Amino acid sequence: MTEHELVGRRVVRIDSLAKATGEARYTADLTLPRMLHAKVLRSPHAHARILHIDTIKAEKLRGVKAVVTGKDATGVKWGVFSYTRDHELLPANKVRYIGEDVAAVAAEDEETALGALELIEVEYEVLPAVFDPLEAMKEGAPQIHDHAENNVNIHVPIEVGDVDRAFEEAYYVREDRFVDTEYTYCQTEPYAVLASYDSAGNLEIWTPNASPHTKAKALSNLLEKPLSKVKVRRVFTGGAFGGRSDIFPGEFITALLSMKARRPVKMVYTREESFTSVRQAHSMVVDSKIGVTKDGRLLASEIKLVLDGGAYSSTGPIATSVPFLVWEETYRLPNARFNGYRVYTNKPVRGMYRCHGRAFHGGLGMQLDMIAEELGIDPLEMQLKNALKAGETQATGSRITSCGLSEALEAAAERSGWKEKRGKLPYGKGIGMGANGMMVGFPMGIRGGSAAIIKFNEDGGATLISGVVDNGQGNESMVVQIAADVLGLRMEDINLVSADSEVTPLDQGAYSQAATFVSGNAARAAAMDAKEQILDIASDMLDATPAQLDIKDGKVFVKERPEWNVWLGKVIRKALIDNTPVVGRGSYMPQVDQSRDWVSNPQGQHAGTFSFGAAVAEVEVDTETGQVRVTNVTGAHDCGFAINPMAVEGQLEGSVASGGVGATLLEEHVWDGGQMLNANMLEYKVPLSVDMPQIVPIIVETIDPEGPFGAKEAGLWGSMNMFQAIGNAVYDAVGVWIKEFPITPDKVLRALEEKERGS
Amino acid sequence: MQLPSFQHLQPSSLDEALGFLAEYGERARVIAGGTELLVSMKQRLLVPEYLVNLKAVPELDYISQDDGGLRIGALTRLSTLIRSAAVVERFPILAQAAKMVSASPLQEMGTVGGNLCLNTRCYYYNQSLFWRQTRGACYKTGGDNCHAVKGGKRCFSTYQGDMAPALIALGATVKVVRKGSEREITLAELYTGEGKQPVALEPNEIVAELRVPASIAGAGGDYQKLRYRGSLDFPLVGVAAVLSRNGSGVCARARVALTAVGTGPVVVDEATRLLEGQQVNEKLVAQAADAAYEAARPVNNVGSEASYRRKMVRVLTRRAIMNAWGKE
Amino acid sequence: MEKRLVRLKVNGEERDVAVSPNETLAEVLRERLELTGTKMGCGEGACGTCTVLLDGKPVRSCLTLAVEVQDKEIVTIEGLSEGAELHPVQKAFIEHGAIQCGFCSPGMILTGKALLDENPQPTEEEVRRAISGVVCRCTGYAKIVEAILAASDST
Repeated sequence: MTEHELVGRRVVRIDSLAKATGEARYTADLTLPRMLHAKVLRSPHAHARILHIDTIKAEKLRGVKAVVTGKDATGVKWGVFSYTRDHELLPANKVRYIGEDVAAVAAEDEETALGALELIEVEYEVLPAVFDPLEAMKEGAPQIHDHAENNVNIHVPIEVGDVDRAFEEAYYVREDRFVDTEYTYCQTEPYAVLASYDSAGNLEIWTPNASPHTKAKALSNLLEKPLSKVKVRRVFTGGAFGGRSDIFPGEFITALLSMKARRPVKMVYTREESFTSVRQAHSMVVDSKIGVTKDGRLLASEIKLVLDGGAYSSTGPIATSVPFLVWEETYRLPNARFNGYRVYTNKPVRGMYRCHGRAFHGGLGMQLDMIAEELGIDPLEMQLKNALKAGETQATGSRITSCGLSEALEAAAERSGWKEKRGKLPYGKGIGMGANGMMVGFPMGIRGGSAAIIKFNEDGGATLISGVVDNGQGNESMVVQIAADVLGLRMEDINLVSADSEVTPLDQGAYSQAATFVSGNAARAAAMDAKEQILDIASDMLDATPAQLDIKDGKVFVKERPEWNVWLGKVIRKALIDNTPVVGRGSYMPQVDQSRDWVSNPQGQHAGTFSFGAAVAEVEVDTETGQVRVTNVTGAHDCGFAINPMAVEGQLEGSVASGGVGATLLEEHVWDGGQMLNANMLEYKVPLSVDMPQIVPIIVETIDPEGPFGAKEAGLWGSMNMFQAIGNAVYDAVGVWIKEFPITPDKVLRALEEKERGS
Repeated sequence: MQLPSFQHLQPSSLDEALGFLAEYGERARVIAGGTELLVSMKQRLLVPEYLVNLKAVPELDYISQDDGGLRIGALTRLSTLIRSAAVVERFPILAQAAKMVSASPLQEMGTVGGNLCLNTRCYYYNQSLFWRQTRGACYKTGGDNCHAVKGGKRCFSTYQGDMAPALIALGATVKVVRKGSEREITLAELYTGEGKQPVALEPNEIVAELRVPASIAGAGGDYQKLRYRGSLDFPLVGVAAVLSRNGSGVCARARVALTAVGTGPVVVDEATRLLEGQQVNEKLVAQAADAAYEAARPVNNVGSEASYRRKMVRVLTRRAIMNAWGKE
Repeated sequence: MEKRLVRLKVNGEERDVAVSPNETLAEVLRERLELTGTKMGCGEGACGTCTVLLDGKPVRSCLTLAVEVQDKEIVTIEGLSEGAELHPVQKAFIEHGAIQCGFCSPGMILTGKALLDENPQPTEEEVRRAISGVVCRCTGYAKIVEAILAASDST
């Protein structure tokens, strides 16, 4: 439903054709002349000192062109924040997880590279290792980093109001523990890097990424090269989900190899390496205490969160804070205390996954249902009572502008038949609800904003230059759709040059849910700037004021008399000859409190705006096997405004798979100490087509005052609400709360058996 | 992931194939669909010098009915089995089980013989070379301990083929051939129950044919498979039941066989003893299900949880028997 | 290991390639014939991104040896369109928003085409079953199923 020419319509994405014909080339599909192939030698130990590495034999193997170890690195430690610099991407002295990079080889072909790895001799001094974060925090546990006492990587303390008094005043208080194991992105495209270094010192990098600027800056630091010499190029990316964002050893190593060999080097990870040696999602233990009034309003919330961070920080402070922030972005919390701990263990590095803390928010969402049950209140009513509204301020000080949370809850409830079903379905069938707020565009210093440029060709076509990144969400198409709408052009008239750290202006990347809100706004601003210039020039040509003009179908026309028009190409040419060429520029930075810091100052405006969502899930439980089938999901998403409703639906539906059926029921890592037992796509259970429910997506539009055309965000809907929707539905179906995730059949059966024994 | 080097032999007749096996013995492996073998080779679990490709051997790919029974060549694709009118009409449990093997592309590639001769599996075995090198060899890879069962005195790897329990329950026999000779054994006898060498074949032998007796045609059969996803996965538990009813409505013949709960398929003889000659009722079926539970010894090495899987043996056995009886 | 000259019939064209026995069809297609539309998501047959049609049936090319398919008709995603004319399944995927990151799309589209060739009017259940061996992490499969059903109406 739109009055606009293009935005708001179900348009075909600009990248779909290339992907449908096989023409779209991903990193592993690329080749350059004289390209070498690289492989990495990995640590078989979870924790060890590297005493000695001998690479002579490997270097002498015919076909080997470069070998690197920690000695070739600059020794610079990487960290997303200045205070989390703990990661030497190719360590010289110590390894901290099984699968960590120790040495690498570039050779004429992969077989030779693998053969060379076998010739590298590494002497390790094996150290005691620790794999459980609670164990790692105890006195006497092996110390993984010299700077981290008790292996605590990050501690985020947040305190709002008077929590202790609020608990005293509360009518009902309950405490629960929720436990979630690790899970993983499992993007269908495995990790890969192509690096090309030339004699002038230019380094070009292609790798599936969520922000070329982040990668370039990190490499620039690590390689001690100026940023202008590190060029991360745009490349088709096969899904990210949070797992392509910060800098990884693979990029660093491939760059080093290319620099050493003076030839392009490509490294393609196996699926196992993609699981173990890039990033994973955190496991967590959540201890949550909630106090409510008699009528179910949240009075006090006290949470302790312990995250297993693995061997290095990655986005540590963000990972540790975001779970609580999503909680405060959803519900009114007058008094809250949060202590989040991210703990080092000798396991692969954990990063962000489609936001953070699905089980955190999931567990707390289930607690709300438990409380509703205790108080005899309909869960929907409980949600509505506590759901934040427009104009309110969140616990740590973020003001909410547009908010459709209540609308989303009502819409999902109505469409799913909530009132007729909740508590009324036959035993074994159930319906449950979940809700979430979601930050859009959070503080990232200079890297939190986006700028865009539009240039025109003499035939009236244009090129939009934007740092926007597309990992499959449809972001590239989105900025073109926006620019074309503003400029009265067709989408096919606008080319896009994007996600190139050399060419495109700084952009925050597909991160913090900001592509639409920030990159989209910048593109819109650039288009409007260009339009202003065009109308100014055309006003002379049409003898009208700019305010009397508009552009449509490639023609600038007088609004009152459309037959008075001039072809856009002619306007462009006039501008060129007059030496006032049309070049649109625009930028956007979310209005956040830049002094806000994840750890030291978690107060103030946290995000440019917030999106909201509600999910209703219906399940069938086979009470003999404990198997849970999600039959229906009704999802309502306040995305502000749907630039492309088809894309918004696609995101919602996708998150029902990954955040819902996958995360809640199927996906988990299985560990033996520091080694993952199911680091492959057969044993790590990603949902298949036959595992999916019927999905009804509902778009709620609240027209955000800041968002482009009122749009906010549309990527993370189900990641933070499906968990509790399903968990609550299981309770409605068979009367058990499963607090250990994922909710696998054996856990359901055990809970049912315990319930029967108890009664 | 790259395959190791090998010599590829493409015999055009069974005789030629057996000749290669006689010559190269342990240095060779046969490849049928390749869906298991090639993965094992990529993981460097198997590194044969020679691959004897059976795909072009016509004498191994057929389904024929003679005297009412079935003769199925070992190279018959699972998808062929699914589409075969003879199978669907008279031995439907085979089509049912074949449909549940993995997903359709692998049913297109995979063969009956290949599925029967599946190597046993384990979290600690089916891994890359790098992965396995971090903790050293186990019984199955030539060492002297078990990683899955601490202190285990033998290999506890799990047999996870779907076709075996169905064919065993049908009373199938197997023709095993080598150059110059052949032997016929019951399908159950094909399995050693031993994790290191689960299939009782000499290096120069292959399974050539399955035979399903005419007497079992039309009997009620059902295969129940437990897996967490609806496709692609190996069974966490599999139960096949084939029952036939005689003129007076009593169970004349009953066979129950299990998969994924031992180092080989498990035949539940006690279920046969309980059910044959009896009126099949709920109480009796429950007892047979208990017997299956007793016979099952799942181990925590293929996902899910062993004690849960064992309980599911009881549930699935009950369902398989009741369904099979209902189809009779 | 000696290389052998094999003649592969790919997308209606005969291509002569010197291959080693241990090269999979996926590797030969991608690296020798530069048909990179066929992807390598896992190399173990568990994801379906390497799907090609062999005599019309979807198979895992990462578990197929190049030397064993000389007499087969191989169709990759590149061979699906007739010049500029897209196959109805490709068109439907594009029009219905069934493509997000696109990595599973070649496998999904080929599987959809093969299904419709055999079963022109499948039910939703049959579509889901047919694509249940190809993993998608982006779409939740919803629009993929919708696209294949839409294509079935138009063929």
